[in-house]
Amino acid sequence: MDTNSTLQKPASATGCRVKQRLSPLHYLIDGMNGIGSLLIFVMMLLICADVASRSLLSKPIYGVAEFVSLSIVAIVFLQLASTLRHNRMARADIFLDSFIGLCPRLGRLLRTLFSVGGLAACLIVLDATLPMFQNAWHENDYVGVQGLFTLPTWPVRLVVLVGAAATIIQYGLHVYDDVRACIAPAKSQQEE
Amino acid sequence: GETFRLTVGASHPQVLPWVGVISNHFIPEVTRRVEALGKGYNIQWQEAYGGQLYKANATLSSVADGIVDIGWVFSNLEGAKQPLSQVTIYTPAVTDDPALMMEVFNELNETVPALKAEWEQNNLVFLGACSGDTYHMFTTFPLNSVEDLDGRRISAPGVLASWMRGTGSVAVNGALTTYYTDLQTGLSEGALSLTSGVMGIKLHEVAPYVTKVNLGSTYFGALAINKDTWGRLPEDVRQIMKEVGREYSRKLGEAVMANYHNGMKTLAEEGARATPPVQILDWSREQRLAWINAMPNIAAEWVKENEAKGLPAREVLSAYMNAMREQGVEPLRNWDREL
Amino acid sequence: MTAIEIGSLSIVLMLAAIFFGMHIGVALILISFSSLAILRNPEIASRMVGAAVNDSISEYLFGVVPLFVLMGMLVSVCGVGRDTFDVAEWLLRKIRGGLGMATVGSNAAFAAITGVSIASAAVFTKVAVPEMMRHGHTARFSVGVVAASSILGMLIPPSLLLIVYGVLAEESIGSLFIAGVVPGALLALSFCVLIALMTRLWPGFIGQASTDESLRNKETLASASRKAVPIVLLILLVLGGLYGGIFTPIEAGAVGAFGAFCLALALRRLTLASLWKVLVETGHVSVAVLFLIMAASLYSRMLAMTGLPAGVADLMNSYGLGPYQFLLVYIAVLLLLGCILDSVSILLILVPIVLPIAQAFGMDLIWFGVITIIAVEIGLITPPFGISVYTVKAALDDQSIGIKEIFIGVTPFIGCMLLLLALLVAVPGLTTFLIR
Ligand code: NA
Ligand code: NA
Repeated sequence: MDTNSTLQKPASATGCRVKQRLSPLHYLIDGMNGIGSLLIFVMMLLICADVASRSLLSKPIYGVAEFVSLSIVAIVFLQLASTLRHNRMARADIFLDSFIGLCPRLGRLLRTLFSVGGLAACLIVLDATLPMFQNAWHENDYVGVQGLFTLPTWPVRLVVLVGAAATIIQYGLHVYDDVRACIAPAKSQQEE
Repeated sequence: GETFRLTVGASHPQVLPWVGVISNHFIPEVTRRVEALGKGYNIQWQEAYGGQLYKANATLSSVADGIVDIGWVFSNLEGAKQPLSQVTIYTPAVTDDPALMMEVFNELNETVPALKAEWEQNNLVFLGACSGDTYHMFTTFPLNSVEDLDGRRISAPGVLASWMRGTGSVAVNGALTTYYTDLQTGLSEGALSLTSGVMGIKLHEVAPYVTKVNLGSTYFGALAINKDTWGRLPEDVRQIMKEVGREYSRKLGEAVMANYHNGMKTLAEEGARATPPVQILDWSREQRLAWINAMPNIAAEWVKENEAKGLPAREVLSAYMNAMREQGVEPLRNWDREL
Repeated sequence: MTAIEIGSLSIVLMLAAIFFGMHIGVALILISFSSLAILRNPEIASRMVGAAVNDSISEYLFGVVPLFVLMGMLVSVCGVGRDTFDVAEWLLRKIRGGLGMATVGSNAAFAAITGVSIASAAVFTKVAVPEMMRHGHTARFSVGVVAASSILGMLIPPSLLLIVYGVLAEESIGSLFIAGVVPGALLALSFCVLIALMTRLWPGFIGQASTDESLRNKETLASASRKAVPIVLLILLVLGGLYGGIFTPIEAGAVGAFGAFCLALALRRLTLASLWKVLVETGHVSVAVLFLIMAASLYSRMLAMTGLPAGVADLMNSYGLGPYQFLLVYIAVLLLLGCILDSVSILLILVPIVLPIAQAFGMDLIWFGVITIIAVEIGLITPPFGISVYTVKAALDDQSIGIKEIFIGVTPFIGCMLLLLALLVAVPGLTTFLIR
């Protein structure tokens, strides 16, 4: 049983255990995902409001473009961990899926390696964004035009940091599940 | 001899003069003069323009972080890091001469410490200012006075939206790339833009009324070099780069004005044969004054906001306006005298 | 190791990592980071990762991605998608393979309101794939038709790619848009012909259309008209607003989504719970794609840093080719790059290099642009990096359909696109007669 099906099926025995043990984390990931979803909806409403205000009231809403350009980055990192948790990250399943079927231990080992890679990639992102966050925070970095509208950039940088951290943890869970299944494949198969 | 590897980049393609002049003039000229030194120095250039390495939203940080060593910095999009360098976009209709604008800012960036600091504190060394031709109006309707703008939707993204304040028009967001379709569909009824820019997209096909409102040329960025890279170069090479940086501005002035005159010539010749024919209208000083005086004093607002942050905006504004007046320029509105 | 060697090695590594099943975004980030660390140093590499992640998609333009996806999800959840297909099937009921053609046709119509192919891919994965499979088509044919016809989204105007090319080539975007209409219509038509041929000659590939009584179309003119009302309203809203000058192509995504939202409320097919599900699903699809675009932009920046693309162009220059040889090599390079890079990156890298050559041969740059766009778009559906294919995969409800199935499913359509490309090269007038 892999991480995703474990997480998606809390009814099963392992699922319950895992879910209880990890619930604060899941609240975080689901919560962030929810905020991201709301942000998409808000983006839609805001753009429609701008269109309506411009054509009906002859008054543009300044800063919509800037809000969208910042939000789009925030949306990615608010929902990245959840996308990973639901196994929706883009990948080619040509080789790995059948390999795991043929040779479960070696296959899971390879997948563990890839999850460690994912963990490392998010660590690089975290490490690279940290100075950008500090810079945005200390220097009051903003986008937009002084006098019309400005939006600070630090909240988005913070979301990138938190989102990368949550994704690191989620990759860690994948590693944990695969390693456990590698060590005790018989037990894992029984559970399935 | 010593070999220096320098990466040069820009967020925009070489067809734009401020990028083209980098590869057509700056690089070969620096190479030639460094060779002429006869010290065996060798520069290996690597060029990546057109957003291959970064986009317009990251021109400053990419040079500052050393992703490229030398690059074109789009200061107008860096309001947070270079607040005082924005002065000319809050003071429209001062001069129509990009060469003069660049000359003045090549000077001010050396003599006004606050302006110089906006490069040095961001880990950059200023090489040469960039400026474009003057702003004109390209509309679907005849524009005979500022009153004709009342209730119209005009493509004027970013800071240009503040130039439309007081005219009763609606500033529509967009970019050079969207103007054609925006005007074609009627989403907007005109654009406030550079002639050199709109010629590339053949905007006159959908906006046959070209009105020379001359809202002025602006200082919008500069060629700059990463400060760490700068520190690694020998003194005589630095000297050459400074000199060629100034020359970059001069060549850019020629290129921009050549584009402008070509554009105007094309509008007059091809425009006469086009359907509908292009009509070029030259606004008088009075017509222009009506617009510029209809605007709130955006320069005063800008000074107030920046002084609240402890920045010497008033001093920068006066230094700039004085430098222009010393050059014999008569600004349409003396923004600094209304503070 | 020279920079070009690092670049070449990075391509091999990337292909291997993707084949063995690494998350593609992750593979692109790790390989780019390592290559940059060797090329320059780890510090610069880290800064470039930071810049790509924080700046590369931070544009108003990318706002269309989740909004068009949301529009598609809403259209699908309120049953309008299914209704549209009932109507399309009814219209094409006398023709064998009619449902596949209906997918192509509705994609062509939808292309007139969206400027990005991934939006079409996401919408029609939700709308068309379940319908086609319900009617007995194979999974590979169903997803293949959807992935292939999503290409129309960026060939029929408005189109993000034509805008990018127009900017690079300084050609009128309006003319480019008009020039895209005939090739787009030809492509849709040739897809339909291909489906008709496959129905006769290769029924195993597309699957037996079900003879089940319960699936037989029971529509009448009246019921079909009634079912057509919501989708027609939506298209009128978006097309009318777009060409009536009420909103921009980017804003059309938001207005369309809002229109679909209102429609779903009016039809009483949206509960708070189902709305929430739609929003979460929209997030997952968009994030999978946007994360990929982010990582791909880092990868293309790394490649630009190695000088590999410029090296390839220099090589092309140095052989002193004639115009048709040049075009042949150029298209081959575009197709190869399409295997490993995203479309916008390919245009950014290659177009500035080849434009002077094309101009020297006296080629029509509008025609050249349409050729370029079609060749680049083939890359949207070629393995291993075919973003439309991954969008279809991300939007699929049935996760048992693998990437491989989708790539197999689009293969006949790739052949079709290559034929059209050859035709357009041979007869430039097909592209240009509307504008010259
Ligand atoms: Na389209
Ligand atoms: Na591809």
